[in-house]
Amino acid sequence: MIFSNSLEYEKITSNLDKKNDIITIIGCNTCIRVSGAGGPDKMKELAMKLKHDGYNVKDGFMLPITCMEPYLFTVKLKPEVNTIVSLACTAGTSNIKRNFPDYKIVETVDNIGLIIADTNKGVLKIAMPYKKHESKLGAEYPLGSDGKNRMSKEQIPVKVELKTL
Amino acid sequence: MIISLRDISYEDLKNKLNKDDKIVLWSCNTCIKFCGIGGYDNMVLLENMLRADGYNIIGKELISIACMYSLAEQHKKSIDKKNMFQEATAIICLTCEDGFETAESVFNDKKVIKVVKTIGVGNFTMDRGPILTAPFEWTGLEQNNQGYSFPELAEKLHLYPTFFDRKEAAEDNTDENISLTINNKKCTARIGMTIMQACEANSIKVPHLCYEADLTPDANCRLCLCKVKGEKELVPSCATPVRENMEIITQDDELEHARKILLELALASHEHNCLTCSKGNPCIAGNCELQSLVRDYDIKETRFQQNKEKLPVDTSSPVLVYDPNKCVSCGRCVRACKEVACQNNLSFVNRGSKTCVAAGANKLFNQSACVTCLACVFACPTGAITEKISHFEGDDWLETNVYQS
Repeated sequence: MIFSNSLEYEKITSNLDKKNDIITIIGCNTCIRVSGAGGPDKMKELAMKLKHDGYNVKDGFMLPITCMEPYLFTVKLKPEVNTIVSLACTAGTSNIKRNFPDYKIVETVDNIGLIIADTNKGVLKIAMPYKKHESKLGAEYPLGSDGKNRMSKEQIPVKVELKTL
Repeated sequence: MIISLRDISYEDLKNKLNKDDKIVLWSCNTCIKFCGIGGYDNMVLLENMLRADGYNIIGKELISIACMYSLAEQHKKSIDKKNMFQEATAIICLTCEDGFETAESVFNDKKVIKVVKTIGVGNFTMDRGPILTAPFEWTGLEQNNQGYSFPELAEKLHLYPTFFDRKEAAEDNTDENISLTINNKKCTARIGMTIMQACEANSIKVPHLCYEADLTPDANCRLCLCKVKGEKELVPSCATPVRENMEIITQDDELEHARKILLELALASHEHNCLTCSKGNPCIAGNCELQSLVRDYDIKETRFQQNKEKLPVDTSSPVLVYDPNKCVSCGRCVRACKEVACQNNLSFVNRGSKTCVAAGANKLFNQSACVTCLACVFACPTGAITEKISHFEGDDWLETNVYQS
């Protein structure tokens, strides 16, 4: 599973234009929901905040798996939309960028790496981080906590180490 | 999705095994399946290759998401499988490295063998299959939205672009094969195969709804009934093992007539509104098998009265929609939840025409122990359990269903 953390709201809005951008949000309902940086509730929260702050958010689509093209084909954008806010991990965002090349795409998360999850304990563990997040190797967080409340004691007994080719 | 490529040859894999090893194949049904390395079919292929080369495969285990530690533990402790796992000395992991680390920890008293290198995350595309878009830095590759294809990655990173090749193993041991006749045609099958598997191996199509290769046969839909010489009754192809010199008829006027009636009865208990059903069109989770059969049998309408009380559609889950009105009670979701997810969260409730599948203690999905692994969605042959695709709009951010079309 892929672990992502939300970017600061101001960082997201710094890439949006209140006057000219007509926005659709495309969200993913898999790993990013488990991470706590996406999913239907997070999408509504972001949409409402953007609307409240004067951004022109038209609508949103919640897809089961955004990194797979067939699901992306179910998105029917309104003709006036020119901007897509991607509530998906890097993989999902790449898919959106490739399939909607003429739209402005705004990212909302940072990819941390791959995780192991335990749904009984409600915990996830970072197993294969990207280089800039190497210090988080082995870190554990509650499911859906968006990288907050790091746990002090190990919950998932899996030994993890940095990978090289 | 997580992108992984095979990084050992078949010879290297054999070198990691001993002839006296008791081997279990362990695979994930998610990303690695779309990478062409995991999933049930690849486990069967590798099992056949290793068996032909004299290795002792004692079982295959498919897990819905192998990087979920809790699911892996539940598989290991499952009443049906714990003897197999206790006996095993080697586990071959057809999972990504994330899933491998989980398996290595869960089976820490066994030799756990990995066959892939996980190199980052990417997409599943319609024209190029899986591609890598966000590589791990140690690959030396830049992030690229257009993505790197598997042949390109294999060349750059010295990995293999495909799964093991059947030709690399010895030929099938003919001692294990038997002769039989299917529809008056001489055929061969392996000892232990069911009639359905023997038919598939000989390119003979037998209609079925409740059968799925990676699940235990249940023989409840009765569509695959066939005639076996010497048997008084019709036998279910999916649950009857083949015997030497068996004479089988899978298709004649009587069987076809019976199947047509069964399909009409299924339609009578099924809300048949294909134009507003996602399973009416091919999608990642397959297409509607009931609709395909109805077309094959040229059924325009059912002669039987609609006999099922209309039930509310459950949209409480964040990831799936359960419409009990489209359920044909094949039980594939129940078995997938038990066998692939190891959750036992789905079961049948009530009796007779009121029988239906329910989550938890007959609760809504979001009130049950569902871990949203989608095993049931991928197993369902109709539009009863489908992935949720939603459109949100308006001041109140109202949700409406989007159909895959």
